[in-house]
Amino acid sequence: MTDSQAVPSSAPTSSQDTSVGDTLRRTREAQGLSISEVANALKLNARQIEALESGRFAQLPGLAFTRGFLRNYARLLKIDAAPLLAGLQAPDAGEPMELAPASNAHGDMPQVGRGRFRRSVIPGVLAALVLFGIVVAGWYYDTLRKKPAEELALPAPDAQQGVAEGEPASVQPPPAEPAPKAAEAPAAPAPAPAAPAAAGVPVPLSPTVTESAPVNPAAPAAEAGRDRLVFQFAQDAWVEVKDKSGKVVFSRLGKAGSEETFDISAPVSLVIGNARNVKLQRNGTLVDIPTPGKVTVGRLKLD
Amino acid sequence: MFGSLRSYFSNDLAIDLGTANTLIYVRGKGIVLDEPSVVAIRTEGGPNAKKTILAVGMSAKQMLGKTPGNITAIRPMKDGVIADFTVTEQMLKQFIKKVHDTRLFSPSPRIIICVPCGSTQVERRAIRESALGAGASNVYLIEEPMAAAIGAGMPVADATGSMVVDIGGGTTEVGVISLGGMVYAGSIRVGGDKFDEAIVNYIRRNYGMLIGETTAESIKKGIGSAFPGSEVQEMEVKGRNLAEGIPRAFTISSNEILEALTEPLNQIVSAVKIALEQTPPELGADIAERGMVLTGGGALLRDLDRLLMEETGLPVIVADDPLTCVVRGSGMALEKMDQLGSIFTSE
Repeated sequence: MTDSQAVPSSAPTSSQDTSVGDTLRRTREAQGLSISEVANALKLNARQIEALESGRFAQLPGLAFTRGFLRNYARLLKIDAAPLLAGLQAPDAGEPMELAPASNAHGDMPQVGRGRFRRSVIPGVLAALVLFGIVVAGWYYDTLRKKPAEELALPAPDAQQGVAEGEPASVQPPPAEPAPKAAEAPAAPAPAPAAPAAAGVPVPLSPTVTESAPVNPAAPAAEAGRDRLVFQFAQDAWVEVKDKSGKVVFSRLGKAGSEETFDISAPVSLVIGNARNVKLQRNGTLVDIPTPGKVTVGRLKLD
Repeated sequence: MFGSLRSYFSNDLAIDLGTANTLIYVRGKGIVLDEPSVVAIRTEGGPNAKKTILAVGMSAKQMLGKTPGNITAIRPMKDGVIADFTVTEQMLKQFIKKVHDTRLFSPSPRIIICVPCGSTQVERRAIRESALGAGASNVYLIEEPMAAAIGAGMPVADATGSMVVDIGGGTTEVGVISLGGMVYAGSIRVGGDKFDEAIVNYIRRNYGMLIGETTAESIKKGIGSAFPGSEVQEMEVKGRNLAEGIPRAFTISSNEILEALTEPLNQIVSAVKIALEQTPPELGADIAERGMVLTGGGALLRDLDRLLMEETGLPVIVADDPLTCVVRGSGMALEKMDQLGSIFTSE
């Protein structure tokens, strides 16, 4: 649309362009109008009218304007503008239009304010980040150290059971913990029918002996207040039992289809994962494990 | 890198969301939709009562002023900006759905959308939000005079002043452009709708007859003119006689319509004069040489260019196909949007 783009359509020698101009001039003369009268009516220069009539479109501001001038001129002369415009290149047909101003340089202007801002802010941001890192690291180690050992043991009960259980076992002589050990080492010798006489003795539990033997002297005393818990696992589920002081009596993962028996002394609190697939019997009677809503972890207290 | 991938799924659109008509330009395809900005909404009763969109565009426009109680035909744009946000969003969604033939993925095109240069930040944000709500992934705004000038084929990037007067349905925008940016932008809320309103009021005052806006529009298109011409045209119009309350026919002439339109036309003339006053002298000289270009539906009003020519003493030309100038200009900007920044406007 710039002047240079208008050049192709404005070669004065082109027969089409001269014929457009000729038509206009002949019609004007036939109607007895002078160039200045036409220029006055169209609010154009006489020079521009002459350029239109002689087909020197390069002297006109551009294709879009030339077409408009031609249309106005044709209307003034009361002739159809369409054949005249057909001689001109359509505005859309030309080269793609330039929308951004011509440029022969690249680069960004230095921004004084922003530079200073950056220099002063970057160290501050770095310091804040370092400080934040230190705080996070300190908090992390702090919580890691404070975390009780039993909680760490929870996710993999089988492997760490021994470590976690060591202390409670020694503090409380009458533990039912041997069970886990027994499960791991089913080959344990010497059946011990003695201790858990109260309820029917389930098979896998029989090897309770291994440890109950050394503490046997204390056993009869404790026997009276003890309960026998039997867990039947339809699916894999973990079980954690704490006594009234909050110490973990035992905590382990029961395999699907297995059955576990423990002796505990009430009151205890139980946490059972995947509780819908675990059946709990206390001294032979079925205990209902409450699982509120969608929660699959059951919590209950036995007195 | 992702540009080609994205264009595979979604075509970018340029939308002229006008008070009267909405036009959509699809990159690489041209103008694919030109429909009136009208939505017809039906309120359903019964067990599952709800509101449904009955029609958009041309078929909705035919319902204007003829709807029963349970249907409302709405023009959601007023004075170039959104008057009813929800309806505008739904209308845009329907139009975008019409032009998008990819069915597998829901369209999320980048959209260039025109805003009147006189619109406020709130109005611009409303337009942006409604386009986003209609499924656009990105919305860029372009001021209407800029789009109109590009569409009219004016040399917007040159160091010369180009003056464009875009007379739309709701607003008239006057812009002076140089070096790819707006030097002066003015907007008045006068446009085709105000012309119709003026005709309705004139006929009620002088004939005691009530006509609808659709009739007024057809009068304007038929015999409306802005400058006393040589020939006087007449037209038979039917309306309701206010005194008798009975529909009657009467004849109205183009001179009367000219009289009716005097007031809105004067506002446009004075907006143009103000723009010329505010234009820097160097650009004013360019405008005196080339004249100003009229675009928009209002430019089709007979002899409006003559009126402006006589009032300003400057050459005035009507752009080729003035109704589509704005959307064509937005379309050209769309084709080059990745290289351009300056012609878009922020909020």
